[in-house]
Amino acid sequence: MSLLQIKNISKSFDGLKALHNLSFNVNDGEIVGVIGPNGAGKSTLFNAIMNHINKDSGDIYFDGINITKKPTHPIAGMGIVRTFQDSQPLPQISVQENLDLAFKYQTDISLVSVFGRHKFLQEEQQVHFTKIKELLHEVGLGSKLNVQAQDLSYGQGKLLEMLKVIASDARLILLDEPFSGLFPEMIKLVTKLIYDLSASGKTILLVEHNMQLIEEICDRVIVMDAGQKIADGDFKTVTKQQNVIDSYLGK
Amino acid sequence: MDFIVQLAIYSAIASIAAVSLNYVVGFTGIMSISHASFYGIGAYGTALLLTKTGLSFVPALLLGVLITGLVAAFASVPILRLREDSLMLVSVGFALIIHSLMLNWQSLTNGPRGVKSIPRPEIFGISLTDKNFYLVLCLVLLVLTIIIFYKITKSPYGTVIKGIRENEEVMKNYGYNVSKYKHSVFVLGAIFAGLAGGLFASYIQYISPESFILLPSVFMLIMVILGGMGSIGGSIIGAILITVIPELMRFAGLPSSFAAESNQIVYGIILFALMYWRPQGLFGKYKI
Repeated sequence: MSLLQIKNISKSFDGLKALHNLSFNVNDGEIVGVIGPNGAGKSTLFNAIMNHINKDSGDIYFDGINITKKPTHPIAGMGIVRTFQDSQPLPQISVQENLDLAFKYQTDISLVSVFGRHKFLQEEQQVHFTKIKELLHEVGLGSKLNVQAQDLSYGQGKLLEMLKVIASDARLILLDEPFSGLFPEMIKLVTKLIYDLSASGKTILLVEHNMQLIEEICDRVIVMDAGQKIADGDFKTVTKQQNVIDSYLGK
Repeated sequence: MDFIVQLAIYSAIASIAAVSLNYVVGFTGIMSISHASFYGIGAYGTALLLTKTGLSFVPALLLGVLITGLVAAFASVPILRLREDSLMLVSVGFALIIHSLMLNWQSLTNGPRGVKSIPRPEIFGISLTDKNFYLVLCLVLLVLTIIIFYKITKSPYGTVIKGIRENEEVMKNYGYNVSKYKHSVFVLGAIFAGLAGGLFASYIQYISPESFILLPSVFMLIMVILGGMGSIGGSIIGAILITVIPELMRFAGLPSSFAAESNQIVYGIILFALMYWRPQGLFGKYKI
């Protein structure tokens, strides 16, 4: 069953077509790679799904519900989360607070809940704290709990972004170049986290330029060029297509 | 002694305003320069209710605060649609509108002549005409303010607003209704500015529009920046320093024509020094 349906999405910036009649589906539990040259519209696609930008036309469905015009926060609330190309931990708060915010509170945090049900919130936060320590320990960042996120290295920041994705427990995860700028050991760690997410039933849409990783991780690959889908299928098939070789892979 | 009690009263009132402004600017990152307007609305609301309706102090103060909150709730709609530099400029616009209303809505505010003979409060039969009693009232309300903002900022709600200060888009991306949080922060901050204004009006017993022009908003911001963004204790230290410095300048032996304005030079130098050498302020953790 399709968890995500993109139907004829178009978006132009000052006459430049960033997305042009783009349509594809992502099935529940799939890992789908999105590849293409710079400027192909891959990040714009993520922005369109999360409604960071208004679309000119077309529709987007998540789990059968039309989310085209919904604001970003309810889309996230329905179970979609994205990372950004340049990792974006919240810099001037601690690693623990960054992760705490990624967890979905059972309680809607309002001022009333702060004064009326503070104890309940604290208990919930305590549960998160235990999970946060486990997550950080798993990736070797156990000692960074109280460090401000801005003091992490670039690679550690990328790892923190992945941990936030795990903490969010979203059903659909949009990963925008999670491996860029990482050294081999970190790449292995992020790869493992993606496999773990997939094993727990998550659906993943992955933008990446490293073809070896795309081949290794993804069940299916969508190739974009100039805002359009030019190929859709398994890695071996699409990478043999002449139009994919011409526009992206080269000879 | 009388002079010190008076300084302590001014410092306590300024601290309430500064802590509430830090909640808006330092903790949440809403760079508003309209706090003195809400301070003024609270002052005018309380003063007019005391002088024109004959209400006693507590209901007049509470209603003054309520009016401030309502104005802030309406004003927050256009102000918070914008961000960063644009928000700062539109908040300046709001401050100019409020000042102009205080100046020109003569039938209500008495225009440039201001509101005179504002009575000092009487609570539970105790007259607070005695400055010492008034100081106790201000300190009690300051402690209450500190407890409320400490509790909020240390709670998960506080973590959310700090996240909003850091990056709104990322927070939306994790499902937070950023707009709702910002509105509630803005209104609560304004309510406490109104409380400080009501206390000020009743203490000084005379208010005019000139007390609530743009400059006091800038002074409040300097209190917050000096003490430290995101630091409640820092706001109080900042408020005390900015209240006490002009009084100390009077003893510096400067010509009287110059002394009155010299405090602004000191504030300017403080801002320069902070931005170059300690942008997080004396006790803050966060840089603008």
